[in-house]
Amino acid sequence: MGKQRLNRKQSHQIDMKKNLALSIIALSASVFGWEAKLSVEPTVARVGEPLTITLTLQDGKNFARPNQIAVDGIRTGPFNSQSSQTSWVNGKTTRSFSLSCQAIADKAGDFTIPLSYTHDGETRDLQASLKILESNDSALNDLNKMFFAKFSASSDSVYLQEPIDFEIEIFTVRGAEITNQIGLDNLPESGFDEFKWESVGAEERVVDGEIYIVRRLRCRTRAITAGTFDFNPQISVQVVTENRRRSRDPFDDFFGARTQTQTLQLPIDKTVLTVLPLPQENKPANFSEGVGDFDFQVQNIPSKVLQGDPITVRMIVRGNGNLQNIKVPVFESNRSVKSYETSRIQLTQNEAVFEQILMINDPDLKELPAREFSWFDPQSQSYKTVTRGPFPITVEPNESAQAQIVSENIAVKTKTEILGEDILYLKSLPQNWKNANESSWFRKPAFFAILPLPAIFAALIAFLVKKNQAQNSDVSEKRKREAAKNSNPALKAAESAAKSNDPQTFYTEIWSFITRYFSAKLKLGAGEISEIKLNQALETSGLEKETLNDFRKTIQICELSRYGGTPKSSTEEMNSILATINIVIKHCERKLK
Amino acid sequence: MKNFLLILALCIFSNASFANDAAQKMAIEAQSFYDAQNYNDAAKTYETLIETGKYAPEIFYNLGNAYFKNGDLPKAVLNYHRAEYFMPNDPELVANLKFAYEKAGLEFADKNLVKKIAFSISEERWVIFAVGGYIFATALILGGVLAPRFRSGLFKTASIPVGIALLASFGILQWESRYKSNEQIFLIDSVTKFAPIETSNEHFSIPAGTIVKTTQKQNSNWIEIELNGETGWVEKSTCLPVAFWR
Repeated sequence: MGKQRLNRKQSHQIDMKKNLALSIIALSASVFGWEAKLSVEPTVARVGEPLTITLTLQDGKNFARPNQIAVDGIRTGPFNSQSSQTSWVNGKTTRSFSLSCQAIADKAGDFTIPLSYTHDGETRDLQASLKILESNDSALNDLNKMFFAKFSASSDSVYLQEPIDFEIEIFTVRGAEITNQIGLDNLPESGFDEFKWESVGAEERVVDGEIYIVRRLRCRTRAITAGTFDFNPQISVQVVTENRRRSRDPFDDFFGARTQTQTLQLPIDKTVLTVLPLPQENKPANFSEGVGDFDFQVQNIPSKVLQGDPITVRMIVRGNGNLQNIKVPVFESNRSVKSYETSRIQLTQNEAVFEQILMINDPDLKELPAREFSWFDPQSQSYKTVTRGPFPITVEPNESAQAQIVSENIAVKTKTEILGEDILYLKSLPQNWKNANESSWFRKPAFFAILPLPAIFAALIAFLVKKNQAQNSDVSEKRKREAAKNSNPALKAAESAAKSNDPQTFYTEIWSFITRYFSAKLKLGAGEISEIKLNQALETSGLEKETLNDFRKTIQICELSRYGGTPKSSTEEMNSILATINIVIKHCERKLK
Repeated sequence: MKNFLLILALCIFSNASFANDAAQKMAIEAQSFYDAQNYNDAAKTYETLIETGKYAPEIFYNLGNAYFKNGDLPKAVLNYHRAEYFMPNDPELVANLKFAYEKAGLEFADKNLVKKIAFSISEERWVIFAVGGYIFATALILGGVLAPRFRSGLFKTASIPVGIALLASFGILQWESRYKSNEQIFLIDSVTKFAPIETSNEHFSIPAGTIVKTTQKQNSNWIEIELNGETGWVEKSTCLPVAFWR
């Protein structure tokens, strides 16, 4: 089973290499006519292991089978396996034809397999290299020798921002199998830019007499903090092993369920990296933050330009280093030149391109100033500066170009208006000081509290006046309201009569008071006042019985006085009647509103 | 109790009066520095005066003059703008502000008609107009209610102060909107970014002395500003608020 997996894997690798070879052949064939290539897979093998020798032919027809290869120490078979493939390279369709034979090595050593092939009268001498090792499978018993990894940095010390390459090599002894799932952990969490690992392929390599498949992962990053960093990454792989427990399900065999994966932590040596800070000594003022090896160019500056016309200057930084952090020496605005923001329009691994728009307003300008680009070179451990320019330029006057605006985002006046020679003098001392800790009067809560008052006040006045008007417009209501007031003179006269002991006047005035008061209060005519009606009204209003009886007696005496002559009454009796009248009035004022 | 209230009122009044006297003295001192062409000390004295919490539009104007003479045009523009909040139509202020813009190479942005009208009068005056219109209109309506014979005439007349109050309210809203926009001035040439982080791409540049509005977005270090319909992020340290008193 292990052999089968190995053969599947080997055939897959052979296919990949065959495709690559075909592409190369296709390219060259388009120039040189038919092409041929001889290859052997694997290129490193052990004595007794099967080998495949392949002859790939292209851009021709009716290729003949080559003769059997004869090499001392290698037994080869006839080229009896053939295949064809169509590929499309540079817009041209090409067909390739492959012939293969099986081989097996009988002894160890370095071999060169020769083949001389003739087609259309033209002969090509081809050869392929092969390394054969002695048969030895002792390593397969030690996991640490079967699977291990190496971690390396391109340097053991770098400067801040200097790019650094890390590489991980995962060694798997040939014949063993791991999945593509590789775990990587325990890298420094800070101090470095992002770690982005990418696979850079696999190759066969002989280590201590063993053949390994070496998978390589590479990462380029940069340090952003100075200091010493320990790299002790934890690398884990998924090893494919046979499932020793026999399944009862016959479909398991069919669907390959007899294999399983196991996570294996690979042993790895610790690596220490020192990140050095950039030296402050001799650091240029216009340091671009670049660390590496660079070249700087300024392009696209025309020799002649129309005044006010925008020109786009291109600044290019090429080289190896932290191009993503580079700041280019931009052109600054002055009286002659208005410069706009610089934008980076392109960034590749080896090139950063910036553009800046300039507008030249001064027709007398003869040159644009030189630009200095400074960076730190880790190789020489020093700052370097390159100067480009000055750039001669001819500016043609353009009267109509005074008001051109390159970007609406820029708050710059393009046409000036002369307003005067100087500013106006100081103002006199302020009369009213404001306090920064206090709100303006119209923001204070008191203001908002007072604000509705005029409306409330006006509404209140309107309400009261209207109410008053309404009351005054109803005569009977007015009489009722003013009954006591209007009847009062009669009562006063009765009081005087009581004092002067004049019963006739007293009872006349008392009756006068009663008729006036109750006709107004009960809204009756003066003639309608009678003992019954008064009795009814006062009883209904809840007057005490005793007082009511007294009042009824008073009415009866008054009526007697009016129709049957005035009864003799003492002052005390008259005062008692007055007291009863007062009690009744008080009661009526309270109850008959 | 009455005596206590009297003493308290006198204390408050005398404290306020003392603070105003001290402010007056500093203003006189600053003016004497200015007259002696020592514009740096004049500006410093005015700034110290404002730091005490006392300010007046005349002081902002004078401070603007001191900065202008000292060659600090962005700060001159800033203080003229601060004075403009209180006396927008002052001809001397308008002349000096335009001149400072001219010198700084900045565009003196012409406002649209609505804003021109709204900002031609200070917010305080708009409030006075609004309150006056409201009281006058209330009185006329009350008169109309109480005197039916003159009701029609009084109600028609009331529409004039009602209109004044509405116009003034609109002016107040415009000023409130201006305050809400939290205008900022850039004291140095700056560049906005697309996002509030140092590594973000640059968006557009802003020359020193430019006044911008802010949106409501900000965090501890960055603030989003708006200029000519474009928004971008700048570090708070690069700009100053114009209306600091609110």
